Amino acid sequence: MEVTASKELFTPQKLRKEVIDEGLCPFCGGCAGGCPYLAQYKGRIVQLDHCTLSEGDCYEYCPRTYTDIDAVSQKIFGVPFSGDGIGVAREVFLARSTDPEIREKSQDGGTVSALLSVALAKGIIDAAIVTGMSDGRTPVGLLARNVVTKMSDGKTPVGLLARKKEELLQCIGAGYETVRVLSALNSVPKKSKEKLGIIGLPCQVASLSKRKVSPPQNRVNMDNIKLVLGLFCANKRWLEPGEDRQYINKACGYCWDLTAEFADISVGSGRAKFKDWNTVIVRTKAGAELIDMAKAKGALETQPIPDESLDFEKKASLDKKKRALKNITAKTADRKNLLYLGLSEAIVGKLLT
Amino acid sequence: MPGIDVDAPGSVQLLMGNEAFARGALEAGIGFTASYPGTPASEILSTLASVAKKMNFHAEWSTNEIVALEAAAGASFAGIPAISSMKQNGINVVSDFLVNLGMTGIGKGGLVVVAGDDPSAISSSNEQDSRWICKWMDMPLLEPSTAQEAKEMVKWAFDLSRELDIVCIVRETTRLAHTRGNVKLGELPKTEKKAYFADTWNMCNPTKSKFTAGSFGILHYQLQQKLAKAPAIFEASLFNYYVGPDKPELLIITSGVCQLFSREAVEELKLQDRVGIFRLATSWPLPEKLVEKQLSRAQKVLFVEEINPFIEGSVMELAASFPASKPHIDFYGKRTGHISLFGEQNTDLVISAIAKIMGATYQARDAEYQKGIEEAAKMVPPRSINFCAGCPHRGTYWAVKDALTLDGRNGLATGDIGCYSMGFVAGGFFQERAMHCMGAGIGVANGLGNLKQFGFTQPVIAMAGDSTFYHACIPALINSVYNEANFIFLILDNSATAMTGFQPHPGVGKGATGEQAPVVDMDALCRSLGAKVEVCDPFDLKNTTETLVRLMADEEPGAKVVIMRRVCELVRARREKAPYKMHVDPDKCAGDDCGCKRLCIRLFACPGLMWDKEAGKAKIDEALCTGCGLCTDICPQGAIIKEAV
Repeated sequence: MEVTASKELFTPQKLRKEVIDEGLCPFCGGCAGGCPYLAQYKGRIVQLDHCTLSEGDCYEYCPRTYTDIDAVSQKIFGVPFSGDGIGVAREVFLARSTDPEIREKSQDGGTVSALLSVALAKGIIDAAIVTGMSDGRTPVGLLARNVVTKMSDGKTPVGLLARKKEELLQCIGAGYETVRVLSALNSVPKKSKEKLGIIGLPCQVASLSKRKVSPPQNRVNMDNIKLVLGLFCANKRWLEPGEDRQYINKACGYCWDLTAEFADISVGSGRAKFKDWNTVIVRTKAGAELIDMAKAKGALETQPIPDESLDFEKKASLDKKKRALKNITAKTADRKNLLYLGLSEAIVGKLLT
Repeated sequence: MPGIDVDAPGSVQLLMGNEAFARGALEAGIGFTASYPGTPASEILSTLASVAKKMNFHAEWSTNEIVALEAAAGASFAGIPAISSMKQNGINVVSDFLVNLGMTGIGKGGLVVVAGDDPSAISSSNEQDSRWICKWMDMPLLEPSTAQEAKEMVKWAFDLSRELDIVCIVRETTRLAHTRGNVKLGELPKTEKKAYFADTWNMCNPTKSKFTAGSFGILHYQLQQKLAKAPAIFEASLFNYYVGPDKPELLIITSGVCQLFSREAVEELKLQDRVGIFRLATSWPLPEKLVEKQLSRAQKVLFVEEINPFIEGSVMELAASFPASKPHIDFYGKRTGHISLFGEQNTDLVISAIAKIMGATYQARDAEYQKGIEEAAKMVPPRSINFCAGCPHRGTYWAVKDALTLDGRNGLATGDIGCYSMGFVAGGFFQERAMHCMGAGIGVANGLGNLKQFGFTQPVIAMAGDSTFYHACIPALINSVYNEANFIFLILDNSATAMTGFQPHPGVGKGATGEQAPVVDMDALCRSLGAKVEVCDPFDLKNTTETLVRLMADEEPGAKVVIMRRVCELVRARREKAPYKMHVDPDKCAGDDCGCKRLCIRLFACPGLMWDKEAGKAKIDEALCTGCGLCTDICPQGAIIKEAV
């Protein structure tokens, strides 16, 4: 048995000190999946054992450790980060699935499920990483490591790879229980050649983006990720299924991103009288191509977004940025210390006025 | 090799010290023996039990030491010679009975206690010198040095015990207990024994039986009078003797195995004509005249004994009473730092003490040889204390660790005495945070579990083995029910007293002599006391962890017992084949790319797992793996494969 007596602060300790203990952890799951030392449990990241990695993925890809936002924007869109409303947008409109089966099971318009099934059908991706329910069994190897809260029906949420539309349909309705999506990504074998699509909340998309900027050494090739669908997040999500649904993670007060600005396509509720529609923001070329295919296939029904709706999204999104900056600088009492956020002075100035 | 019961007086057998004690008991004609296992004394009872049926006497593993001694005393009260052997902890356990037994006497049977001390605490939670109890409670004390003497002194102890009507203590230390030596056998008595509890009456005790210790101060005086007869007997004993020149420059006073170390040391230093050795086998009460005579030989005296300065103190007390006209004596020993105050002694230590006093120089080995030894020592790979391959306790501690961590309130485990004591080191993932004596884990939890009014919210898990449960935990469990202490009591039921050599206990359905015995059902017992009882398999990590987490979150008051049930792997392996054939799938094990940082060998650290340096991957050590299958559930890659055999 090797016993390490070094005083070096290893990554999970760093993560705990700088993120978890500071109340910044949004519980995105980017650290825990695939790591035997970290487990997601009842809205907390728990370090089960002593890890001796000095440069671990858990710290590197945490959306709440230092992130050069400009570098991420440059990598994904080829432009610097603007700090405006809803971020880079090629097109914004309302959409919904034309598939009655999807619509029936969906929270809003079923756009995410429609897009993923088109992507699967067209071979853009071989598998979509989504959250599904299993009858109490967690993936092999994680069996003893992740004690998960069981749903009232005895099922447990797991991140899984859906390769067919039928598998996808089984996961609809669990759309916001995305806590295990990044775990599932971390568990994909390194040598896998499958093209992947992934759906995530803004914090999870941020974690993914950091992986794209500086790809992990010992994980699946990030180039295999062909599609990132982002979900709008207004901080009102429960941490684990079964928890109080009104629970707001205080850490989300430090999040600037409402519309998952680094996704290929971001999807939110159509709100108010369009609440069985989705607001869709197309951000990248890959995103635009998929939308075109979905439209051509007749899988997606669209209509222009009313001006007042678009203004609302822009304002809400900007407000979230301002609120985050205000909370962060209130915490640090230093305009120059933005915790994890690497933003230009100009943008900070604009947001803090 | 003939058995311990061979009836061949005059023949010589090679016996382990503990076997020699057992043989002495046989030659003393015992009819009853009772013990609780504990290193270094365990083999005395197991040796006796192996011949008990054949020789028609009673042998039992009792629930604990005090029950054992009380049972043995009962036999003695009824005229049956009885012996009880125990380690130093046992002496503490029996002390309350023992002090009262001094008041009443032991009857006609004869009662001998063998106290096994463990210097350096090699197999103990403590180092302790049991001899003090003799001074404290007025009992005669004998200290044999060799297997032959062990046998002879046990026999003699029975005579003394009957003659003085006192319990006689014979003390061994680990080296004597576990070293083999030639023993010339004596006769085995063939007299029929008849047990009868007779009414006895004496002047000091106005009751129908003398075996009632009461508020009669005179009983203590009576005991002192009995003990006062001992020195005269000891003065004449041939076990006390002097070897050396008539007037040595240095006189060594020693007892037990230290006599052998002292003799060897003097020979090594070639100081036989300058240093003499007085071996004192009857170390309490002192044969004062004899000691005084020996002290008059020299003006320098060195005491060599294990563990405390027991003889040293007694002799110096005696010397303090000498008239001023006597020549001054310089005393050396533990008080002066020449002999260490703790730990086992050995010849080298005694040599350096003598050399220091005598101004002699001594080099044990030439420099080249010493260097060679040091080089060779470096080649021995370091090993830390760990559970055996396939040990159920590894699963228990893994689940305890995960459950306490997941709960997140910095909960703790309080432990007890047994294999699972190793929970305080890496083998048990440093989970055990309090460990003292038998039963103390749950005892301490009774305190921690009643601190709510002071804001105490840390979950507490008390742990005890199955044998420990029967030994010392039941009153504490009753207390937790009665006083509503909040903790989880984990009974690690591996169906054996594994630490001391798989002796049976009340839960296993077998007695000391191998016969079928009734089972005391621990589940039913705990339930009947009002505790909620759950049973887990320590190899089902997921269920065990979930159960513990759930119970920790359970705010409802009341005792919670979780029985972690899986038989000791060493016991299982003797009975049946391994359940699984294990291998590591090299395609799945990502080696150092995994990021797990060799979790399997670094943290989980079952001895059956190893690291293949060339391949850079984990590997099963087929020589050590017992095929238990537990590690399959801890590999993050699912690379450790179990195939049912």
